[in-house]
Amino acid sequence: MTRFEYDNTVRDLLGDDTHPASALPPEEEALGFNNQASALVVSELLAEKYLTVAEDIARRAVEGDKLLALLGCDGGDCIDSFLASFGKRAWRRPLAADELERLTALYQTGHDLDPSGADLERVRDGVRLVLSALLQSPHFLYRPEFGLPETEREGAYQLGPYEIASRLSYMLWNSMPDAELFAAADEGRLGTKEDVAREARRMLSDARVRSMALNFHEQWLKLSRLKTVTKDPAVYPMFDAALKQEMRSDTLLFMDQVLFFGSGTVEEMLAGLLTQPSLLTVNASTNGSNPVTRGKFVREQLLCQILLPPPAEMEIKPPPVDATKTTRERFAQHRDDPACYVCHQLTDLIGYGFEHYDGVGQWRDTENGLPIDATGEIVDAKGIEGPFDGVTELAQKLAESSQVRDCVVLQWFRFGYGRGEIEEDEANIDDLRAAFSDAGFDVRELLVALTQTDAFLYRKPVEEDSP
Amino acid sequence: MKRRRFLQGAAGVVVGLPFLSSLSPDADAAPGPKRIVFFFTPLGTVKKKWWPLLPGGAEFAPSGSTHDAYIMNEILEPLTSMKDKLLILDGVDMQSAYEGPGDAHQLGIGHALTGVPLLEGDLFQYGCGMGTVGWGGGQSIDQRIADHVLATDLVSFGSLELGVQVDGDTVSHRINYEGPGFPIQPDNDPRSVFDRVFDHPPDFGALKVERGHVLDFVMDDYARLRSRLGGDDRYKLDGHLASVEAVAKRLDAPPIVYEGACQMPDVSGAPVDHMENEDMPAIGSLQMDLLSMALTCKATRVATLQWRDCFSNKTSPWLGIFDGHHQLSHTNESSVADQAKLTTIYRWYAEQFADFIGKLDAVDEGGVSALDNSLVVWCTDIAHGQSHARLKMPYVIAGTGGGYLKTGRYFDLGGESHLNLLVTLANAMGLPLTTFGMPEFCTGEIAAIKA
Repeated sequence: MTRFEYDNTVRDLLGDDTHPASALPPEEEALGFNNQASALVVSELLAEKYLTVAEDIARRAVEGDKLLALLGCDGGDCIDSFLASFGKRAWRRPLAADELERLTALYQTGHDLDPSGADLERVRDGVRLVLSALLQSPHFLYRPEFGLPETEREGAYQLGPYEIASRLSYMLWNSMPDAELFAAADEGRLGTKEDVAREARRMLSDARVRSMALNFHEQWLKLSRLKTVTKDPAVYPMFDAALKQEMRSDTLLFMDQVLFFGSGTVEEMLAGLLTQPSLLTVNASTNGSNPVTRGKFVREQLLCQILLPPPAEMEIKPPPVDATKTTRERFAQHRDDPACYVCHQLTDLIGYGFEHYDGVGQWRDTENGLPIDATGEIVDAKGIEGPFDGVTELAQKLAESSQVRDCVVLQWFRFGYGRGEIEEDEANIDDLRAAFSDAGFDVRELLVALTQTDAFLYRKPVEEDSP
Repeated sequence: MKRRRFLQGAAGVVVGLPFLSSLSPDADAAPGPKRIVFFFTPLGTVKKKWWPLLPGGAEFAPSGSTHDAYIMNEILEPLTSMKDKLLILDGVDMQSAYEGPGDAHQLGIGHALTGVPLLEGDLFQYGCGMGTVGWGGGQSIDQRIADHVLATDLVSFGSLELGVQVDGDTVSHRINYEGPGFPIQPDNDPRSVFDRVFDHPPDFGALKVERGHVLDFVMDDYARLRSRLGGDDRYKLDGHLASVEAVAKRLDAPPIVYEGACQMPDVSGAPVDHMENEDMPAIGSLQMDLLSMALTCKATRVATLQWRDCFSNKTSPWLGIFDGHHQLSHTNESSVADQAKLTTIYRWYAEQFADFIGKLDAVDEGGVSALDNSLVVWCTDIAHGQSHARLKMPYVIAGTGGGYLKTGRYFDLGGESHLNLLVTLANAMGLPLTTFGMPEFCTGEIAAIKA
């Protein structure tokens, strides 16, 4: 569970909106996202933080009148039913009899910590210990999935209703299932693809999906880098923390508008994305624009291409600021050296399209008194190769690119499933591309399609222990 | 050797380690617990400004040799007054860091303390070059030593890993490993370090009892679930369980006794955002205060202080440098202005190193200082930014490890494997090793640097 998911989950579970997970260390990161299961491990530091954070949440949850509201009854009378109902919400599935027994024993231990205490205080201690333990359990922090043994198909098992409910809620909301999802699981209404699609569509109209998308966009567009970006104050004296914050929220708001109040399409997204000051700032130098890093961003994040960086021995350094030249003229040295140009034609020629925007995204008609030339060219990108002039034309070209659309599918696949694609996913990815295309490249439909693949509905059997 | 056997034989009851020296016939036995700290700074150095010079200011002739008479060069100049307590090592090669997957930096940081190939996998793309790689492939030497310390001594923390603006969470950002594929993240937040190590609430006794009950339940959960899982999932859950067990075990460790040099540090002035680029000097200073106090108070004996990371392109505004460090490190040796900036950055790190060892040296432990009983090992991921070479690595070791090493010397070891250095350090810490990491690159202890 990531910090974002943790905060959302305790909010939905206990109404605790204090963002307790901000005390946890950052997640290990892979493929550009912080929710990739194979990269995440729990160090001693994290285990310790899980302990102290859980203690704090538990303490807050049973404070004063909150205890009785949580229990839903007057005292110790309903502990058994509380443990069963709360345990089910915390672990996102009904608890087994032996699990309830152990939980009851822990409650009793807490209840008996201070035998001289008042009755209510003893209940409070018992519930507090139970909450703390539930929140540190692997059944809370992970999503253990076993599938339904009777559904074995070519070595894969269909997931059970509670497992599907959790997959849906964590993918679309980055949080725990709501009451309706629990009810659907209880009543066996998550057994078919149609069931799952119906729930997914319902969930897409809930505000929680917007905060999930915000989390995705922040990572996909690498907006968190904005936080640590510095600029040379001699060149950009106005660049401060407040401006950074504004840039970040502007971009997130723009993506939110397109996705949930606009057409949701890649085309609409690209039309406004490329001129976002946040991106122009992060992908620039400390003292000016930078066609290389801007072109690199387009190649890597929008086209999902892996670029070959310079050989280790080669010197990489932007040409020094020269008050008699434009940035474009300075970077022309790459063209003069064939060893550089073989790769730099990929980045620089796209990056030149952004030259009307300086290192913090401000428009300029001239640079050092010289007119801006924002013509560029796309090379080595199937179907959209050729010249363009400025960002608008670049965005139009990218919007028509199958490579960009496939890249959006891939980014959502990795984030939505919390893992990288493997060979066996070829059919899943083909299905996703087809559904995306049928929907006119509306990302909302891609989200529904993500719940319809075998990769989402099935799991592999337990692997044999590797040595 | 005798002293080590005594310790092993008495495991579990050795609490008064400082008094053991009277029982030991070893002349080099030191009256304080030995500690080891890995002080990591990224991206190598500027060798021409780093290596010591002949007393007249000329460069030494290259090749394997020992020098007692030398003066400090520009980068290490801030360490001049500590010269007698330093062992400056050139000519150490990270030969293993040319084996297996990973780009130059990933190999450099990943092999620095493990000496085994990184795991194959598609988790991380190369930052330099084409390919993908997984996490580090084995336990790092600090954790191996920490296991040994935990088995022989009562300490709260087997080890502490502190970071200063380590900004990222990939294989390029990790130096410490619990085991293959199991990185240990550093704690970048001084307030968090303070809370974990020093801030015990007044009713800690009651809290300990509660925690014991809760953690028993939690550990039981992990143990039950693991038996139903396979492969990677089980491995991952085992790692989580081990982490919970370590936290639970810590409940039994003796609390810190604040007396003498051991005093509760003050973090009240800590900057609000510990990742804010321009606050790095203040954050670094706090982390060094906290770590030196944790070592002084004997809360731990093994630690890492990691400054930034190999792909850190952060700037150094407090030095008037607004170029990213990584970008600068790629510049050509003929680029005088850029090399001067790099020299300034590395010299600043030397000042931090001097500060840190100075704090330990100020702690008297019966005629010798806490630094004398320690090994503070300044290491990095590559030797040289432009070539990305993992050969002729620049090491500075402060302290003798309780008399195990002889300091006040500058060595060019002429191609000694860094794994031999790690073995020597482990032995100095009382962990008898003959080999570590890839065996083909490890021939054993480096006798020349011993006392």
